Amino acid sequence: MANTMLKPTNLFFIFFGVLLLTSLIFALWFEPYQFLAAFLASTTLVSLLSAAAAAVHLFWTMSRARKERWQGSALTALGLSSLAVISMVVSVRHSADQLMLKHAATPLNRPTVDVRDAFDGMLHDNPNFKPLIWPPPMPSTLTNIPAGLFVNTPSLPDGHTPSLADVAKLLADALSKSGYTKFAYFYAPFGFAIVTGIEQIQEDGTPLDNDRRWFAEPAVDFSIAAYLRLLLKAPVGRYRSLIFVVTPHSYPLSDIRLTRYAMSQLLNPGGRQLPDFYENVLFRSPYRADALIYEFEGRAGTDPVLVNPSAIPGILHLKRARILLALETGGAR
Amino acid sequence: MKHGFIPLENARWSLAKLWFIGSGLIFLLLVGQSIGTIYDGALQTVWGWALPNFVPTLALMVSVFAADALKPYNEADSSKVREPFYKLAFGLSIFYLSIFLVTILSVPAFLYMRQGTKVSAIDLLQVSNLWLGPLQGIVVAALGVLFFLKDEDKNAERGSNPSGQASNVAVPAKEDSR
Repeated sequence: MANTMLKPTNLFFIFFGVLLLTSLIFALWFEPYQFLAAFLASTTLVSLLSAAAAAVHLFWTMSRARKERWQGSALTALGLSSLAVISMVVSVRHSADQLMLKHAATPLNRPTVDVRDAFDGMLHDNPNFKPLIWPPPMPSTLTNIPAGLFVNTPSLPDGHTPSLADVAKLLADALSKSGYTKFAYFYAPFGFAIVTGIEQIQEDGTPLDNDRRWFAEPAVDFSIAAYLRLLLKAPVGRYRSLIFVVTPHSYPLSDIRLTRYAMSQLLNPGGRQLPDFYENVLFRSPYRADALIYEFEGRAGTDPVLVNPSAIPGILHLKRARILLALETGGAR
Repeated sequence: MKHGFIPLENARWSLAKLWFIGSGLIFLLLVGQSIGTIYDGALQTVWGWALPNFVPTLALMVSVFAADALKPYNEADSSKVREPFYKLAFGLSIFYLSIFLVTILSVPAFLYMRQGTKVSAIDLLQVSNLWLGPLQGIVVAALGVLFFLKDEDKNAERGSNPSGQASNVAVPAKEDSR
């Protein structure tokens, strides 16, 4: 019985099990998205060591008189070697994915488990970085922002491929230059979104001047024509809010039609800055930047409703808001 | 100081003309605004505010004129009113109707000065009761003297006073005394 308990094969399995458990505990100390890499690496190492030990025992068995036990040792060595090879292959593939994510590749339309894990890990580490309601609510109009505005910007070195963090900074600088003091960051699938505050605009999409731009109730002009108009008609306010979405996915738009009040509430849970994680994600195809324009109209004392469709094309909204110009100048003041 | 008298009938008609023209302008303005959207959703509130400010006075005038409409005109029964009092009543009426009209016409200025806040035209109209209420009381008191005086009152005054003169309303003196 004592000899059975101390059989070399059993010792090998005990040895292998202890090492595997040790590597599992060791890997759990890492961040969740690094756990897989750590565990695979330690499993490979453990398997290799165990296979080597089993091979040594096989040689020792074959060289001794008790050759009838060689099958067990051979099988053990073969099994552990196979396990070592498998874990090594998986580990190499995982490392390659991580390498692609960091330096060259962008998430595919069907992201790998590792890429998804990376973003999940980022969201876990940044609990205040909330996701935007998805799909986005129906806008008045929308437009794509040419990628060249982010790639060929003067603020970045020549040949440098911008990261998503660079794109966010360019957008934030453009918004600040255009007078937007209030905007918030949200998570969008494998990307991000920026939601601006609500401004008052004129009929052609040009923002009102100064303080009147941010009035919650309709601004009123002082002129004879305005006076005569106000004698008979209640003042009507036109409002606008923008959502910039940067994501590699194509996405539908929901049927939800926001009112101006609902739009103003959308901004509140947003983050004030983008997590550092986005510095490691490059802005390359299939990533794209869209601007969703939400236009509202309503009389004083009412909750203005969404204008859909907008009479002003999306690209003209960005032009009239001076955001396009700010992007073209690339953050230079 | 010498004060003249003017026929009560003339005083009444002058005041009636003023009130009907002034009220007519205000009425037409309110109808136009009701067709527009300035008071959208609060039309009943607006008309509920406006009508009690001039309709009772107009109704009083019409009822007085209606009572005398079929009676023959008798020079001997023609009452007179002191001219200063008539001018006072006339001036108060002009002032009241002007303030009423200006209140409605100042809605755009009110909205301009309070833009960006949650105020509406209705807020101004409701606040205007602070000054229109007292003014209306004074005007109605003055008009009441000129329109409320009835034939029985005049006869009673003649009985107690041989000259038939009341404090402000007087009958013409006989030709012998001129």
